Amino acid sequence: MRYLARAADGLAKVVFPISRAANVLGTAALVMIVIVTVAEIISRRAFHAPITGATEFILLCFTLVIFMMLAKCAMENGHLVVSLLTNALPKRIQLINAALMHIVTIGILSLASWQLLVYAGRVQGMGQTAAIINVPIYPFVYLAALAFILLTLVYLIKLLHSISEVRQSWN
Amino acid sequence: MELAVTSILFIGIAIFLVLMFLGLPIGVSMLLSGFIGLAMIVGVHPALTNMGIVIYRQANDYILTTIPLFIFMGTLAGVTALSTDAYETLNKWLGHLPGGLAMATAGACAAFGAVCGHPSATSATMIYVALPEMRKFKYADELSLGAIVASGNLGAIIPPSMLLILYGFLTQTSMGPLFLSGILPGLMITIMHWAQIYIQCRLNPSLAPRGPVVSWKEKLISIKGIWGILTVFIVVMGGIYAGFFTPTEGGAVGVAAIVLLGLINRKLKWKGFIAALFEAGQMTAMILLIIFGAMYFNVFIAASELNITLMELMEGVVLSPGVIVLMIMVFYLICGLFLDIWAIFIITLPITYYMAVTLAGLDPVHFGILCTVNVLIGGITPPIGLQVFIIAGMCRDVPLSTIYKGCWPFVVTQVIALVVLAVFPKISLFIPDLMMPYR
Repeated sequence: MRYLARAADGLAKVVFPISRAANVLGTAALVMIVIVTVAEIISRRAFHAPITGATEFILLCFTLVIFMMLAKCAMENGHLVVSLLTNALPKRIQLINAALMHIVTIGILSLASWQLLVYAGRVQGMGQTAAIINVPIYPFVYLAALAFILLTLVYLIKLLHSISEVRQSWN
Repeated sequence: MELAVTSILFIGIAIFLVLMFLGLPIGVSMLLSGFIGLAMIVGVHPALTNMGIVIYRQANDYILTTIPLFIFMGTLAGVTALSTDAYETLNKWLGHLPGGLAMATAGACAAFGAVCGHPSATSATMIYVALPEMRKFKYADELSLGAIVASGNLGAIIPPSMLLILYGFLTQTSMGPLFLSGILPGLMITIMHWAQIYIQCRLNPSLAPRGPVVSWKEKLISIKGIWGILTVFIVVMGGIYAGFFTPTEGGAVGVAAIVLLGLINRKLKWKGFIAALFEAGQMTAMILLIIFGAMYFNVFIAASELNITLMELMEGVVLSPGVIVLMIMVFYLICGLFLDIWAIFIITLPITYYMAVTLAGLDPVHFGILCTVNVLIGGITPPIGLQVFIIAGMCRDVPLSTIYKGCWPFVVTQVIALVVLAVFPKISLFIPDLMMPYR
């Protein structure tokens, strides 16, 4: 089963740096939201000249904020789980349960990733753009899909580690 | 057909609960159970198509931008030592009283709550700020940690409250009155905590030896420690109510104000800024995965015509509004024991809001405060109380039973406060009615 752990490590070498980079992009977008919002308020209040398209720009940044940090959060086990019952189970059952839950997670997240890709294609086909700043929307939907794919891959890495641990517990 | 839809509703909810307690991430449990339920009602293809649309649609909700901004404001407040300054000021004023340092902790939590809207974040900050001081003065861990855990709730009642923001987003209630409605209840609970600590320490002086008396000169000088929090609070809340900016923009202004303050005080370092930013990112991602799942789950709930089922159920039963509210309050208390506060709101509000506001005729703002306080009490109630676990994880040298023992008096105090708030809605609604009469 050492090959599973090796496969997980190999995959992690690709997925984790991309997830970290996506996280940096998401946090940078959060800072941009702060800067643009404050600049817009000052411009609107002090100079009676609202920044055109600021809300649209903020919403596009927000897309990056809400999607790009998902995978990094999963890497650090940051997504909320209720472990009251599972913690009370014997260690080996806990490991099997964790592996099963990772399989279920990968299944539903794969569906979500696929549907986001389909939706991105549809938005691209329609040529939808932000009304005022005239930026095409579809790259952002593709980024959302990419974020979900990264999230799925993080759980795949976790699954490979889980299976390896289950096997180790048997030996 | 109707029975079938109702059955599917219960199947969907059961799948969600089972998966969640088996340790599936909460957001993923909602996504999966929502998908299964929706597919059973409308078919697999429409359920799949909806998934992509519903998830991406959250990015277009301007109100949701409030969440990362106010979280960032709270994490920044933590790294700029605003909490330490507030605690030191209150310590000077209250430290000599019986249980004075615990009272100062409750007060500092309330003050910190004015810039940080999360209970765990508020308590966690006080672990580093107040606990060493209370240990130095030989306070019983039971009282110290009880005060820290329970007073963390004040952070989520006094505006800006993350729970009230979530409530506003989920129920489409105006954020302005919601923020205002948390001020008086938050202050009331703080004073009730002080009274309770005072009585406790009078009855059992071994809990907390008295601290040294501080001169009036020192007390007056110490007030400068609280100006930072006050400034940010006045800038953000004042700006919102004077109409300078919207509550959504208030978060960004709060972040900018704390950064400015941190630079003036020289307490904000680049490393601290980055740490606060990444911490805010992590919390945002955690909440948003739940929101993605919840919004999709809500599509399933809507398709299952739960509202109609509930209305039909209630038609046969004659319940006074008071009984409905009481039932919801007990329900939330139980939920608070087992579930994270975010999850409780997201899962239950579509149903409880309908029951309390539409059926029982409660003011939506008043109901927002009631469920916020209610869920928070559940979080600190022994023998489970999820918030207690979080703090216990940070103080591994103290047995869980000691923290639970310390929490009990505060739970009783907060339950009394909840009853008072439920019986006298004016406490929550006085400021919103005064400042926003046409809300």
